[in-house]
Amino acid sequence: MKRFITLFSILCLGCSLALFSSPTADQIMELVLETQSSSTSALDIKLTLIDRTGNTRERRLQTLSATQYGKTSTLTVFLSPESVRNTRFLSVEGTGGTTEQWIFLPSLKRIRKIAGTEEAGSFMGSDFSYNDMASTTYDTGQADHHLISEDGKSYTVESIPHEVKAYGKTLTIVDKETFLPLEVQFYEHDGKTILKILTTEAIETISDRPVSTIMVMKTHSSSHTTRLEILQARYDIPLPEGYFTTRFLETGRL
Amino acid sequence: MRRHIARSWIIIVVSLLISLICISSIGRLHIDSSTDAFIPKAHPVVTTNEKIEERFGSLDSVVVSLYAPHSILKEEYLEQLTSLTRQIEALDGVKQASSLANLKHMEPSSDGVAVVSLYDGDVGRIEERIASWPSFYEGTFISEDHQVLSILIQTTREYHATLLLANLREILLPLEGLEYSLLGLPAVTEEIERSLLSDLAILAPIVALLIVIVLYFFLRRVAAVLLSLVPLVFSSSLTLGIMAWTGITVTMATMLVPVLLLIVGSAYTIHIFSHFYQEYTGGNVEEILQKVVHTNTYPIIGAAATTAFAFLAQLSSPLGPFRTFGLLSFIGVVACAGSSLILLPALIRVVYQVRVPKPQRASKPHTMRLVRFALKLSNKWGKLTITLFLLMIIVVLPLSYMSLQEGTNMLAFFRPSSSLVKMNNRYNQAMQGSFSLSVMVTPPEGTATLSPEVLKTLERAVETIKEEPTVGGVQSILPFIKRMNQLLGPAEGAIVETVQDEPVFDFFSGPLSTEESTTNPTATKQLESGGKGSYEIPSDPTKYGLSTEEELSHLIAQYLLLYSSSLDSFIDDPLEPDSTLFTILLKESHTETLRLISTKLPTLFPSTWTVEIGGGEAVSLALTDLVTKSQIISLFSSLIAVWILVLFTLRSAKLATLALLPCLYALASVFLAMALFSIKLDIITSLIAALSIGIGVDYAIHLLSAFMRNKHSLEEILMTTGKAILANAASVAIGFSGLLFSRFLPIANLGLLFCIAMISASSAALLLLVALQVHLPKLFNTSRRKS
Repeated sequence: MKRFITLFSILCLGCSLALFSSPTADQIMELVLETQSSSTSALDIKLTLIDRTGNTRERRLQTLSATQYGKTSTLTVFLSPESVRNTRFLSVEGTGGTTEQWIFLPSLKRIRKIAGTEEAGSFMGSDFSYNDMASTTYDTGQADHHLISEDGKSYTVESIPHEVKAYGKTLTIVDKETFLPLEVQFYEHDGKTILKILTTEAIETISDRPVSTIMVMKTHSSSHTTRLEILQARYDIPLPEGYFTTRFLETGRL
Repeated sequence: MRRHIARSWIIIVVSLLISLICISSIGRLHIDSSTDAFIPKAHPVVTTNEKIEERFGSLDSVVVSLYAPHSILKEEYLEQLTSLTRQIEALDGVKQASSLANLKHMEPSSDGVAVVSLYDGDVGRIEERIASWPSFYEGTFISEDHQVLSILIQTTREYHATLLLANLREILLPLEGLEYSLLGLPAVTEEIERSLLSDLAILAPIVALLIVIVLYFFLRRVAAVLLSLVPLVFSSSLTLGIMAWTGITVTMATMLVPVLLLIVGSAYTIHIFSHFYQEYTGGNVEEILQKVVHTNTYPIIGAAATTAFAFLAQLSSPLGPFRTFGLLSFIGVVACAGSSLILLPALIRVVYQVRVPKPQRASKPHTMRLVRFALKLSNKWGKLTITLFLLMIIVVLPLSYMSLQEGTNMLAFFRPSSSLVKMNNRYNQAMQGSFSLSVMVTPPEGTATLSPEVLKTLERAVETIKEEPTVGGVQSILPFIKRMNQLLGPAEGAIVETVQDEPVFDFFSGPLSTEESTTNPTATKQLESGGKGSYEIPSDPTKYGLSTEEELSHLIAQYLLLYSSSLDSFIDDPLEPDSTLFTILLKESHTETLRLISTKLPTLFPSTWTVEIGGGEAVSLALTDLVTKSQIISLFSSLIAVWILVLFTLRSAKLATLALLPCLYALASVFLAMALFSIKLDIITSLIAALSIGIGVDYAIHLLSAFMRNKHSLEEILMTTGKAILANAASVAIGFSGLLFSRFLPIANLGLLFCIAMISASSAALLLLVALQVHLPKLFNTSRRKS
């Protein structure tokens, strides 16, 4: 039902935009977020880290996430490299903007609660930060969006966050057909120096929805790149709450 | 006559035009004051630094240190620190700014670990937190006495140093109740660049004034002095123009060229003018001028050739700026000699078309007395003189050379009273040190960098290095691993659960369960409190319920998974690093210490490991070695070049060898002075040897030529040639004494050493060669003389 409502609203908005005029930047970015959001998801992700000389390292992980009443719970299982295989991380968003986090260290067979982490830091040594892994665009409440240009295939939207944390500005090129970001440029705090560029290399339709299945993030200064591939994905599947508990984190049992 | 005048005007106008074009292009000059400009791009230390920077980020760092009269851990100061850190983080060229204000602190909590802001507005809590991990915070971010704070700024790889420093100063200006200083290589380089420019602005007029005084002393006419200056200005501006138009970078070596030419060239113009005055007794100016030019062409070209070729011998140096210096000086000296023989006569011709005013008579010069003294000494104490001079050459020269101290530490370029040196000393007393060596360690393929064996080896190496007295501290991955183990690891003696069936987590191997949990989903297991582990590198697998070291290295990787974003300056990958970097902080940067540590470091690791040493002080050490090598090569190249030229001039190998004796004596005096005054062999003072030979050999050539001419008695030779030698040496020495006013110690030292070299070379020519002529006349018998 939820999927139907989402699709219906996108279709309605899309039709009204096509019929009347160009959408506003806020409307475009809302659609971008809407297209990528889901009530639940299971993802199988491969990260390939490529340095300037072409040497590569691989990371593999699977995630389960569920969003209910605007609060997201995520369970991440690291599958490779071998040294961190089966390390598991649970993050449960609570009320008042707080997030509780637990880690399971397979070598010690122990769970530890972690209060507070560096969200702007690099995720597993990749060019993606923890924040980028969650989302590469801002919603209207987080940033001021401006439509910079438009051509037959895409919109270019500039987003200036209300509270500058990791980036001073982002420039998003949005595909008119799917409302997925084709490219995102991340700028330093000064808003002029480019920091990273995210490029979408492949879009596929999974569970009747368009999904960016291959994305490449390049850090401008080091030329280090990370290729993120979604190997498998399931969206809007029934996921009981038990998946997002320390019991499941430790035992794998609901 | 009219034809000569017209030609002279053409020469003057063309020369002036060239000078004007050259001077107007000064704005195009590119200045690089760093010692990095001297290091060949292909040098291993440059490659190592690039490799390190590629893996771990920029090695350039700026330190902002803040000083309070009492404890700095007060709300008013910490608020300023917070605001400063935030502003600095937002600056262009800053990759990361770290201070007590923005560091994350890890502490145990009742059910795990809390990652909190070290400073959350509560002064009492920050004191407690620092006290809980003093080995990490103290010496790096705050001094032990809590009176000094620092903000460590890691720059981006491509940044504009001057802009960043200017922005930092602007931010730091409104500080209240705190003093501040800016430290680090970019700050030192900037200060050198500023000093280099102000030095050029100060030294050129001082040297010019001294040259004017010397010229007036000899020429006694203001017009003659001004005319003599024209060829000097022409050749100096020509070299500046060549640098500007060809894009040659002005370094600490090449900046000396114009000043050097003013000094060296003055001897040539004095020659022309003095002879002109001497010859002119009235009558046709053109005839006299032609005669003067004709008689002086050979001596000036001869003198210029030896000087120019001794400079050109710098082409054999492994250091690029020295080669450029050699080539520019060569061109400059040739231009000096050429303009003295072409431009100066043209000027004389145009100015003195009608009448030549005679110079005012000088009072009886002291040089006469000196010449008589030399003659007396050579006759009466000749053998002793020879013995003493030879002792200096045979014994003192090698001994003093061997005792020379080397060093190219940029901070040592400044006088101890300078604010930069004072600031560094103050910081180094309170903190771990402002000089650094970066060491990248790579275990062999197949050995995990995060294995206990590697980390333990690293720990032992770090502990050994810390024992060196000048080492203030070592920054490495080790404290982080120990801290994580302390916070997340099992308590001492705690039983670690044995492995049960490890659940398989694969959300795609089958359908996910849709059944609700049988237990309360919100209930969480009672977890152990954190911080019970040991502050150590895990090395005993059984203590952790594991069976192999490999499993322990997995545990360490799991610890670091949480910390992955903060450790990129220590490991090149947060999970499976190939290399680890540690930084040795030094309170002083003596060559001996750097050499000792650099030699010791590889011995602290197994021979199969790769240990690469980089960072600012590694460049400094490599440069010191290159400077020493360059000095030896250019010294011998100059000696050989000069010997061949003298051989060509005097046509006698014996005389060519004798001509080198005053140069060798001058070198002995210079090296002895360096040893006595603790003057280090650096990028500037290393030039002295070759330059002394090039300029000093002229005295021997003049004297030996006079001996060979066999026309005059020894007394007459000393009264004419000897006097001229003294006059020349005095003028060059006075010119070089202007360098004593430099803000740079090496340049001031160069001025002092040059004075010593010129006095020594001239006195050795007048005393040793004359004594040899008196007591060992056979040495001077050549086929040419006999004929």
